[in-house]
Amino acid sequence: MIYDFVMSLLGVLLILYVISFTLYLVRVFKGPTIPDRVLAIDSLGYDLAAFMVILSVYLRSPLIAVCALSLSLWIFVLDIYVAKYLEAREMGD
Amino acid sequence: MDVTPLIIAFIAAIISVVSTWLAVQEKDLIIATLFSAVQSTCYALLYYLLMAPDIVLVYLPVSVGLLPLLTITLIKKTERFEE
Repeated sequence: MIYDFVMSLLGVLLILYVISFTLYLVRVFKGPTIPDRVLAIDSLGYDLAAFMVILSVYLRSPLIAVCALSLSLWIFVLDIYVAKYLEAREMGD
Repeated sequence: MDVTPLIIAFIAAIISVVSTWLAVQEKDLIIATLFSAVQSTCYALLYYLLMAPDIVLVYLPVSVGLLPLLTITLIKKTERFEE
């Protein structure tokens, strides 16, 4: 009873996460400035990490939940690179 | 058989194709690097959905960590806009 309820709730959550990915990707593809795009990719990565954990619960395989940690750590690095590039260009020249 | 991972894998594959096309077309090379990062993230999700978490753990540092670092360093040494 409770198991079926949790599984159906996770199915609804997966659909909601896919919709939020679409909205983030619209911002990545359309975004007027570079910080918009970087922030959208950042949020997309963190959302994707939560999505991976939910999917590992949904598929009942706890081994694949480790990838979310690596993804959420490495997506953040992209932020630092772009910020360093933009800031160095503005400050240095 | 549950088809939910297959549908999500289909969506991720289409998004990766679109972002690869935009990365090739884009004239601003920083934005092209960002599109390439989106494509790498979609590939990581694809590997994850195909039940290969070890490949995800190796692919993420290379594609999201090393590749944008090298590309942005190169853009910094040369020009930002493609002619």
